[in-house]
Amino acid sequence: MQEWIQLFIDGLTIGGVYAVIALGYTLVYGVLRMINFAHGELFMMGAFTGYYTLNGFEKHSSLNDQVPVFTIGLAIVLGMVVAVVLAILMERIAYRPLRHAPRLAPLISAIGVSIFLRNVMLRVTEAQGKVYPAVFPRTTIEYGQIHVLYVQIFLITLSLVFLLLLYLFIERTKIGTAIRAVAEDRGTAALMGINVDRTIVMTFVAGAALAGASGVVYGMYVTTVTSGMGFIPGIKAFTAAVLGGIGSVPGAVAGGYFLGITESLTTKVFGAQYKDVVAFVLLVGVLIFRPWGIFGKREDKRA
Amino acid sequence: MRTGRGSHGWLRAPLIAAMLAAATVVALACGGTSSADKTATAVAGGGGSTPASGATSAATSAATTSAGAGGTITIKKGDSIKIGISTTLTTDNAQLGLPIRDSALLAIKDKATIKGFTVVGDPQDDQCAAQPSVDAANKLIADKVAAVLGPMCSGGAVAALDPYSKQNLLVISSSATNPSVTQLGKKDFFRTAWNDATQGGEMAKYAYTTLGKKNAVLVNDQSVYGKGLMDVFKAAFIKLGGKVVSEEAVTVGEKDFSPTVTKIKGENPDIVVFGGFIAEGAVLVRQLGEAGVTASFMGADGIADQKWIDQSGGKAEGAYVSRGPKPTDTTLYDKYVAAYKAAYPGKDAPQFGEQTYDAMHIILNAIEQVATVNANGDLVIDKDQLIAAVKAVNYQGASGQIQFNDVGDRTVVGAVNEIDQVKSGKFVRVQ
Repeated sequence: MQEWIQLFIDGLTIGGVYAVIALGYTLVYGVLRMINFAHGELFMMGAFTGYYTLNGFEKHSSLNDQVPVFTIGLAIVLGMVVAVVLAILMERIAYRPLRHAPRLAPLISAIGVSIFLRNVMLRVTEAQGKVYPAVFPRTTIEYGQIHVLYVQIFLITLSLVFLLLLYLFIERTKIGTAIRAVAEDRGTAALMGINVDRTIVMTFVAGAALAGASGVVYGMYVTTVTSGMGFIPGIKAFTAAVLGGIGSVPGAVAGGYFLGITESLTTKVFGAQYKDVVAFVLLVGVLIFRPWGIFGKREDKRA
Repeated sequence: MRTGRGSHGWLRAPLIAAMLAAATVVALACGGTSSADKTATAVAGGGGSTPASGATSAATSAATTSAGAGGTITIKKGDSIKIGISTTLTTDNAQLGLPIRDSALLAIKDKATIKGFTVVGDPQDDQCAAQPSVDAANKLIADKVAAVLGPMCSGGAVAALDPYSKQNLLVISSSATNPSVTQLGKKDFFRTAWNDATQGGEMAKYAYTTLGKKNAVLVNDQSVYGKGLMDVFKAAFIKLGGKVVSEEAVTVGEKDFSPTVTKIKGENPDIVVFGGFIAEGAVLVRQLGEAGVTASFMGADGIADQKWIDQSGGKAEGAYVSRGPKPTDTTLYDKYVAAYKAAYPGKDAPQFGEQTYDAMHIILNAIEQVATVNANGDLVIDKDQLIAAVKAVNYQGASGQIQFNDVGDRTVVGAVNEIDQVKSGKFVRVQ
């Protein structure tokens, strides 16, 4: 029993990461009907920003020991800032010029941005994995056979906080309302006086801020960050978003946790080599019966 | 935020399908080694390779080969001799691949000209995977290289040896260790790394006999190399009387293996053995340690690099790592390490470095031996003679004495399988 609880916690950890990244996919899909494949790389850039920040403090001061709350907080904020700046740039340079191009063009452009960012970091790091300084104590809470790292609890909690903040942002703020309006109908939203370009940028900003911050905390959890680290979580989060119903915020969250926990439990039952198989079989199964995903809204048939 | 129908609503279903398809393709390309894996295992099923001692008998056949039957390489006067280097320059495995390139270039620096012709390295990215290794092969063939060092990984070698052998091009890998690679029957292929049939057996022997471990959990990274090495280990370990409790796998590129670690913890082995590379090996050993798994950890040449220890959060302490062939007399090895550190300040001599350095020297020596300058002042290299020269080689290098058997495997003479233990964050040789 304890082993299953442990697996559930493991799944919750990675599931939270998938959920937060999946939100970025779903938000952008909502307003632009495009998949931003470079989203996983924003997560990776956030993780590297966190590394360089904390490593800088480690090398040139003793602030990591004295005020770890400040340095970790700053690392998270800088991770957000870098991811946001990159997201604004990629929207402006790689996606906006293609707004009216055939709809597969921005998709290819996104894959290009993804490859570009990965290789920039490969160059910068000379292909070396970078190791986070041990700012966050790597101690565990033990209960029988169950062990949970404090940083893991931090990651799980922060994922939930991010999800809540995003929900409030979308539901309660003026920009959030504008994002929902543009997602509903871009043309009508523009007629109602909503600045569509600005709203689209804000959508990228919201998703990127979450990915960047999540990258920093994930980096602290996994300790070693590499230029390729955003790729698999990116693909998994995309899967989670489709599973939950792409364009749906609760769907992305549910899909993320569902995928993370399924993977974890599958590892015990079938072995880790089959976890992707099980996850994708589930995805196909869901899409056969509910092509719009678990939480997605059914499209009306066109007359 | 739910999306309404929108003006493009009718496009949605096919578009999502297309995007999913794209994602799947990308994901498959990334994990492409796993599909090659099956081919390799099928090939490997043909029987265990036995490193034979037929190296010396090959020497005589070299002289009798008729000139030009296997084609020649002509390098115009004033051009340079290009040597292909197929290794991993991008992706996370570049932390193993870039130092391989650097070691190869270091050897070229030692022998910068042959018969008045400049030697240059031509590094191409093989990404440790099947298709990119074939792409690298095609590029190197188009570049008219005289010989190739590589591919870095077994999965890549299994796929790329075909285009090379069609050109009768000399290929020496310093790091592709899976038994299947030399079972393809390519006459132009050699390796200065040991066949994993040797390394896996040595590891099992050390774990069972020297360390007294009886219950092992094996973890592989689903690559041809990792899976192949663990298969050899398993067979040897069981033969010795040990028990393999379970076989686990991790996915290359992932950074969190806690479900696998949880499973291993429940199985309570006394040793965990890993076949794979640095990034995944570091995550695994760290998470095992953090989860309180007290079993010993053993890895192989894919992680035998200081970077692995540095990325393991101190949890690699006490782990055993097999490093492949090392000479008993380390004079030449030490000389290579000094040269590497002088050429690349601030960097430690890498895993596979000495085998790469030796492989490149063997290539260059062979070219020097068989190349002739014709009446026009062009350099002519007979491909058959070049391959024969390598086959007959008896080279004393940084990684020990190197001879090849009749399938191109390095024979087990003049070197022992080095095993290190991590002590105070450094590798310390224990065998």
